[in-house]
Amino acid sequence: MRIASMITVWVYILLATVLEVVISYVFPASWALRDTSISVIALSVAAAIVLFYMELKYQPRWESLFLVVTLFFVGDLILIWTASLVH
Amino acid sequence: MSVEERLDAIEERLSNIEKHLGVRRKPQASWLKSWLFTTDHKQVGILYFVTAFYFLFIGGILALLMRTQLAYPQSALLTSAAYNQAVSMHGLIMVLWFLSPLGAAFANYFVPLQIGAKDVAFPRFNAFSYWMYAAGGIVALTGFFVPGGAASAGWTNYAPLSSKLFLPGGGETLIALGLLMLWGSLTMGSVNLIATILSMRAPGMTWMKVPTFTWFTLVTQLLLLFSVPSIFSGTLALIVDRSLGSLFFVSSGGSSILWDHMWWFFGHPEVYVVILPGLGAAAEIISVFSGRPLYAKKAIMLSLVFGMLPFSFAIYGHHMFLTGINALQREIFTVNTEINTIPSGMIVMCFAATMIGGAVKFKTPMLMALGSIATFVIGGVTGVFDSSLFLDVQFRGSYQVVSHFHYIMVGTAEFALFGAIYYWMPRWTGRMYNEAVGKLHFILSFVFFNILFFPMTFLVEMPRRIYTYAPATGWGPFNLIETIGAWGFGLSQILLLYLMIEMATFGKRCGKNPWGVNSPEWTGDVEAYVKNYPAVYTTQPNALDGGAPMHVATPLNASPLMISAGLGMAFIGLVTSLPLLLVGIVVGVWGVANWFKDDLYGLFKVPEEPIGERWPFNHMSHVRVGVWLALAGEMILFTAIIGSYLFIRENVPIWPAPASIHNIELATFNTLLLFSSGMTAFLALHSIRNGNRNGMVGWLGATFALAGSFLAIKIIEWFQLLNMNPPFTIASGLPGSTYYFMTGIHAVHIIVGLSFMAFLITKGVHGGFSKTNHDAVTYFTLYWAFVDIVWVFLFPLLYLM
Repeated sequence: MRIASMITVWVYILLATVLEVVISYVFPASWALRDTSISVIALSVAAAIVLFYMELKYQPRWESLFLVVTLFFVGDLILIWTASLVH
Repeated sequence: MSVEERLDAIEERLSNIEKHLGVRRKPQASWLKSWLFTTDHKQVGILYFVTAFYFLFIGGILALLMRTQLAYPQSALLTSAAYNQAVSMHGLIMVLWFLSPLGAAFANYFVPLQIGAKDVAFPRFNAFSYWMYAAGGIVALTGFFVPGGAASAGWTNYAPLSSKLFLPGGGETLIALGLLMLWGSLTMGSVNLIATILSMRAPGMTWMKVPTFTWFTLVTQLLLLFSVPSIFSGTLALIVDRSLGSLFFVSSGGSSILWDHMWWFFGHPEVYVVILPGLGAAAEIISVFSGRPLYAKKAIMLSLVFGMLPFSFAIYGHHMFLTGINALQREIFTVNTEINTIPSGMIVMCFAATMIGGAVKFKTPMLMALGSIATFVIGGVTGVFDSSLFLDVQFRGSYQVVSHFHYIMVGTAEFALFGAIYYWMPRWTGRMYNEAVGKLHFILSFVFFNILFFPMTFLVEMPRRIYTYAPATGWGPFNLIETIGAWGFGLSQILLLYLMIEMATFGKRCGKNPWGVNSPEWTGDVEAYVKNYPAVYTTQPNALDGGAPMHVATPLNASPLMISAGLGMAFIGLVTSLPLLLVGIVVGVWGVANWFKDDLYGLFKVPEEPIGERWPFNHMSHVRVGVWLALAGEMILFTAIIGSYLFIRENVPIWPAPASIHNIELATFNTLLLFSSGMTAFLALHSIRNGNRNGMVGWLGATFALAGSFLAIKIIEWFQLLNMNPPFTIASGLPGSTYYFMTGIHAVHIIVGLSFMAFLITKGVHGGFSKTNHDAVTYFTLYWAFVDIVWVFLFPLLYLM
């Protein structure tokens, strides 16, 4: 992978982090807007790290299986735990 | 000439060469040392086997004490406190320190042999898993000798009963610490066995040729990998609650329901962890003693991988029907549980279909396997009642449930594993058991087992965990019959002990393959295994006849024992005495230092494995597979931690604004430092890939500095928070508890990363890496990127939302 791509990803991660902080100041009381937008940004940063720093983008597709299977259990856990008290 | 005679001849020739050259070979390790420091999968398997039976003995004694207490109304053999300790420790020991490890014993010994691997993927970690298991058990049992006695909150350690408020003694803390060691052991073991099966199969060992027991072991270990991290984080939170005063399980915000989630996300899959190794062995036994291949093997594998594995995580809520979880979830759990009977039923039907039309031989292993299936059906049917929401409301906490889960956990698992002992132990020792005594053992065990547990199905009004009852309840006669069954079942196991001694010492020599099995673990020489000379398999027929190559046994290593013993002593010392704590720390650190030293100087070398079947991970080494599996476990760990946080946030109506507590600017700056360290770590990898060793060391140094700065700023932040007015501490409320817990666990990962970097820099400076040899740097980059990803979520959750 080219160094330029890595630096681009790094800059994106830093800017996204700063953007999250800005959003938290701009919408301190609006949890729906604030939390949703920050969550989307955090997910995009995590995806960038997985694809580029962990190089999953450049590995044979089967290597993603470890991540995909684990994400099934991650989703299962979060869904059950957070929904269990909603009446 | 037998193999034994050939070995003697080789020994004689080597002695002659010694005399001729005037040199002496390095003396072999002593018997004790060869067991304490072994990393050989077969010896580790035997260690698991022996230790599991030690714990069975203790768990069995506790069971007999309980049953004797309950034999008559108002019996005074045990006090209520002693009974609570007995019932709690019995459950924990039997499930976690006997049944699961007995399956692990067979998996350790036979999986590499069945798939044609020289050993497991990570032999030193394999020994470490065993010693952590053994030391964890000792830590747990120490509870009997501290003021307040052993753990007594039930095998589930339900909160808030397990809190310091209700159980102030050291026993509950010790069981939590012992469990923590066990969770570590199970996670390492699962990574090891999965990596072995995925990437170390012999040439020609395609997935459909993989023996049934290995398939069942794979699913068992996947269940452990994805379930244990949840309870690992729960146990850690319980320890922090008890020792530092956090409020995870003692406040209405965290509450008992949070513990239930953390426990049962592990606890229900654990049921399958207990029964699947036994069922895997039963599958092999039924096929062999029916003289037919297993019926619909492919369907069984599919139902395991796509049925039991995912569904066991989607049905665990049936243990929580009465806790107050919402109605829709209760309905979903009911439906899912009933759907999950399909793969279980399918396995039973396939076993039955295998026997139909076969020439069934009712030898002891077969009888045990059939006993296992029979009890599985009874336990399964009673379980279907319990899966129904409205019936469960009636049966909950009664002896009907006790009967159900003992039919599954004891009947299904134990009979199958006893069958596995009779089936495989002649392979270990080369000696046979007495068939008549074996059959007597089965008959007595099966009859007394049913006398013990079947009457319980009628005791739907008798609550579990009560230490006595009034005569007017009418439960007395049932309990007396059950107690007779318990003593009969317990004493029947003397026959098993006798037969195991017979197979180990004075039994008849049974030759290479007493059952006439084609499975790969039977195709070598018995003597070769007894003498611990590992054989290399291929699936090509008659490969061994031409003299398969032998290679040296996996080397000895003291670090696994030292680290585990150190950790065990430190944990016991934490509750009992400061000097023991200090000694434990010294021993443990010494062990870790030795481990790193061995790696630095290449002192622990395992013979290279010839590349075989790896589909679909053909491009990945077994180490890379192991790293990804470990990261998968880590992902679930942090998901459980973040899931707990979200659960608490949802449950607590008022939460302070982060800016009112935290210094957001400082935290943001710190976050940017950490994310930049991810970039420099990658540049280190990029440098060594281009052969630039100095560049690699330099970028790793930069990563170390950035990560060290992140940690230093984090510590400054903690001090500022502890000194603010009013202090923001771990005990000041759930915001404090969650904040310190989450950032603390992340900080531990940073410290592990710093140690890893120090090792890589040292090795790099000494020329240990090159353009073609830098796997360790690659794995570090993966780990460090993961640590970054965790913070990607922790930062906004703790500071911005």
